[in-house]
Amino acid sequence: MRNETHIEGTHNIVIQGVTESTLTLNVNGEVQEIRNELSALRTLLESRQTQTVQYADKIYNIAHIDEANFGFMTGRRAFNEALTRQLIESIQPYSLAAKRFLEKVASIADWEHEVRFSNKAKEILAYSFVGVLGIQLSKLMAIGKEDFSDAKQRKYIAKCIEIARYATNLLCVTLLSKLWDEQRQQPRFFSRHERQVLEAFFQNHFESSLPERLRLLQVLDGIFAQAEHALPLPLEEWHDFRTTITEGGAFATSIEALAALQVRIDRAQYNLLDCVEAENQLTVFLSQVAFLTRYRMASIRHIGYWQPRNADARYLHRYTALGIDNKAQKDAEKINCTPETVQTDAVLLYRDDNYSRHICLSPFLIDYNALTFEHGPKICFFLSQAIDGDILEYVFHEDGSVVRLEKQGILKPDTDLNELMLEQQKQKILNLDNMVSLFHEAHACLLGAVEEIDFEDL
Amino acid sequence: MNTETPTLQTWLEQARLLIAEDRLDEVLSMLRPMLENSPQLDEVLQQSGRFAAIRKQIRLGTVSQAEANLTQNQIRAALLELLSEIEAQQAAAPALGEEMVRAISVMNPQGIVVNSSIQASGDLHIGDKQITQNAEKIYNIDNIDNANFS
Repeated sequence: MRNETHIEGTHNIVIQGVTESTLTLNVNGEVQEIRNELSALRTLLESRQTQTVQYADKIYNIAHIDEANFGFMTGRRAFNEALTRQLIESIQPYSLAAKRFLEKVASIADWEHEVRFSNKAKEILAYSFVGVLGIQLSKLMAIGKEDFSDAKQRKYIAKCIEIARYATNLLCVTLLSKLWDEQRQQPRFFSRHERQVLEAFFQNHFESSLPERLRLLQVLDGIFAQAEHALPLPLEEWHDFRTTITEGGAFATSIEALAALQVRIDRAQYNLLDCVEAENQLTVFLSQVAFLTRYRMASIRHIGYWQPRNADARYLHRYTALGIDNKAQKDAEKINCTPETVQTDAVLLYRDDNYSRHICLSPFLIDYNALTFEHGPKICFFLSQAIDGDILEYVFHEDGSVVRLEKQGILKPDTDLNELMLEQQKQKILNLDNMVSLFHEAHACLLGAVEEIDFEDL
Repeated sequence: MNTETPTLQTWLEQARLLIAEDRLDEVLSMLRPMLENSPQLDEVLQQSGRFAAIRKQIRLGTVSQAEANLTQNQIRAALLELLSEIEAQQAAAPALGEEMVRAISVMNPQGIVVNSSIQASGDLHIGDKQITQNAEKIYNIDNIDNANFS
């Protein structure tokens, strides 16, 4: 493999060419070749009494270069290799495919370096991680395979941060939805701090930062942990997971590190070493939520009723199994004929393959296309409230575009529902109106109707 | 209802338009029955396989966007070449072209009648399809199940 760069700059030592065995450097105008090893580069820099080396258009301090990121710089180590290996091991307890894969490669020492093995592992990761996360992971893998460029570095770091953001969001809305369900049954009182953080979620006019999402997750977890609330665990694996989101926990630490990378991206100060850092931190982050490979997401699109004479009633659920499945189908349309009902126009999170026990994530997570009768799913996360009016803003996870939901109030007290349902255009408006109403209902149920009792004031 | 059999030229233009709109899967589906008994079927099958494989790799993230674009461009070029080949063959051997036109009319699913001079306006139903009209839409009974019937 040959990877050449021709940089004209004022820096003294510039890496100009990289092969499997050698590095070609321009040392003060003189071309020199050394072994493609970190120790050889260190020796050269020491002999020239300098700490820095230029590669592509970035300058690196030798003190920040270790064997792992040196491999990245010289092309010996590809993007996502470490992540793939670590994650496939992390999901092994939850994924039969990962377990079998690891059995097959047990005798191959560095299988992640070989594309034929690592591609298979990447496939497993893409179809194992729940819904939108699997799709996002496959996008990260594709970026990792791009030719080396400045744009690739930026996209790679940004995607790592984005995956962490969507995963944290997914956990937050899962807890929030569960809490809303429980609160409807039996109201609970929240402290001033808890109310402030929850209020910020509902009333935020700007997209929350990663640390803000972590704070919301910590507060929600705190509510679930309080014995007096007598709340069930939101997810079966939560008990083990909750220690990682506290200050100093692996999940929390990786979020802080990824947030720091976000600052570097915003200021265009990133370099290749940040890609290594982003990959490492995302690996730590996703390893903590490996249990999400046990979960699935579905978007319920339409439910029909079927009851022939003298037979039991059945419901025909048409839904989209969100994410990538083990046949490499993305967002497969499926049918479930069952005597059970389920909420319509809803995005569900459920464990294993049965959504009869689920957490409904809507209206915090919506399938905009299902609501507007368009083909294929368009899964959008609640982002913020618009500044210019009573409008909810959602972000479409595939391309980051913003979808705005403004309540039009089509259903009035005197509206004939049958007449309204006749027209598809009106039905679309009704569906979108419902989502906005549900969002406000959730807000009122969790925060609005309950008066805070501040015991400190007594 | 239009009962005219499309000419090969119209069909080729439509296929080229689909390629321009990046609807390669539809072009491949159109070509396959048309070239059923032709040696060019192998080429279509090969491109279909390549297309399915690259789509799968894109979904799984095991290919970069640049590589995916390259492969899709190659498939696009191969299909355009194949269409030009079909066009040239028809010019050289009009009988073969007629054969292809018959294949097009047979595979056309929109109620085109083969070798017939029937002309009608309004509701003309031929064959064993049951068609039902509700409000302003016409539905094919094969596409209705209990779920959407309700």
